[in-house]
Amino acid sequence: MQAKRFFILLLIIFYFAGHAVWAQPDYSIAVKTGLGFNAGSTFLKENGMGHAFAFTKIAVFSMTFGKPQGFIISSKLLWQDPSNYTELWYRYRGFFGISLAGGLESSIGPFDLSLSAGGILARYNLSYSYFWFPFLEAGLALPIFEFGEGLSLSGSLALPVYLRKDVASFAASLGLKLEYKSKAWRQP
Amino acid sequence: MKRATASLISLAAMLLLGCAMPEPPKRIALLYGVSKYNSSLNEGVYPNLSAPDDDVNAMEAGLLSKGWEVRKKINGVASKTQIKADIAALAGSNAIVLFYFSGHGVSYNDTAYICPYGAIDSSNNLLLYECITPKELYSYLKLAGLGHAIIILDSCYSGAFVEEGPSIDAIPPVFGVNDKGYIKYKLFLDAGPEAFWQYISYSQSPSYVTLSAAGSKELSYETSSWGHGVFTYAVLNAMEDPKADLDKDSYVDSSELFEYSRNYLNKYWNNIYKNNYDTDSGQYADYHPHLSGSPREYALWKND
Repeated sequence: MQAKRFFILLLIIFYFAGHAVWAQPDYSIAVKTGLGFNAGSTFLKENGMGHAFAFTKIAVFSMTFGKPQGFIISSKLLWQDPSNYTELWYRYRGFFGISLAGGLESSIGPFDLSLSAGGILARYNLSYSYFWFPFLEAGLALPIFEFGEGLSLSGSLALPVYLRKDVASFAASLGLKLEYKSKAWRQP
Repeated sequence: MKRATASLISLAAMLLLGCAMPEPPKRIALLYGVSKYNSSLNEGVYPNLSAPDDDVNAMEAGLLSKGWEVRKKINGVASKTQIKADIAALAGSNAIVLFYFSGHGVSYNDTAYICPYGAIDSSNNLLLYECITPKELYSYLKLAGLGHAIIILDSCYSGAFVEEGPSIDAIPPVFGVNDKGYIKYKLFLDAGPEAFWQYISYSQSPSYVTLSAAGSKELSYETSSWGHGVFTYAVLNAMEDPKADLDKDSYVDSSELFEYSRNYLNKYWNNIYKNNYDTDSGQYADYHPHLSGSPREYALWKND
């Protein structure tokens, strides 16, 4: 429920931000809006404990301003399942999180490379324990299908490092991203 | 083609093996319950309680049936010295240890204690030096080199034994509408600022997974109609109820036990007694379990 409200709020913010840019008479600012879904695996290891892997699903909403180098802001809804059990019958707890991040994106050939930093507010499953941690993420996207009128589908790879203090954690996820490029973006 | 198929099959087998539950490790439960603090008085007559010895006996039966090795101490032998010695005797063990205590808990000068036998003398005076603080309990476990412990406490003020670590516990120390003890955040994002500062300020992760019956400033209850401590009764029900396995992976873990027992307590106790005012404590009789902010959770038993 909270996630839904947050998502609606983000849509409103992004809508007005996008509208302000697209309303420019000369379409001088190139904007790319993306909506994607990734799934992958997260490595977790607490100091002095064993390591384990957790399945992670991520919904991403992003906006990139400027090309070929631009500024990217993104927000994610993240569901991390509990990890596999270790030998001593413990596992790392799953959680739901919401992130906000900013960074740089650069188009190199057909690829879009991005590097961003942000924070995740999360809550452990089956609990009322909330926690926050920063993260760094490298991303790679490759358009795989053009629908026309600026709409395209890209394959994406995300490599975040979660800077949790209690658990060393990093992840790799693959997914698909639907992107809409503004007129200014599409101009050569 | 055959080679590719064989590779795929072996990859799938590796993944499946990776997800398989490991063989049960050694699991030792240390169970302590004190009903009779004053041996000259009957059970249920203050300062004596009625349920803790029955709690321990029922926990023993339940855990034995789930494959745990149980070492229990009831009433006169459940003293601070004995608890310390029992934990020390586990030194060098690579077992998962479940520490369970049912009995009185007190809070004095913002420090919470559990009260083993000997904590109340024959004149009904409280002897704090015979009680155990959270710091002492954790130091016993650490001194014994125990890396994996689950602590379950059915006593008043036991929430003070729950370490938040890098997380914020949104359940208030005194829970209940009439006590104005609401779950802290109405919206998910409301937790943001506090969670951020908790990340900045905390330095140590919780060592152990702790489930407490009540908050750090509230009472927990026993009831003659159930014959047990209310929280313990919920835990005992979780051992019998297949629905306690919330993620349906055939195992009940510490987080599922917390979720099950808090729901049970809310449904069968708080809903009924939330308007009962306790004049001694100045609080209403509803209360809420707490769970530590450890990043780990332990499988406690396989569902039958």
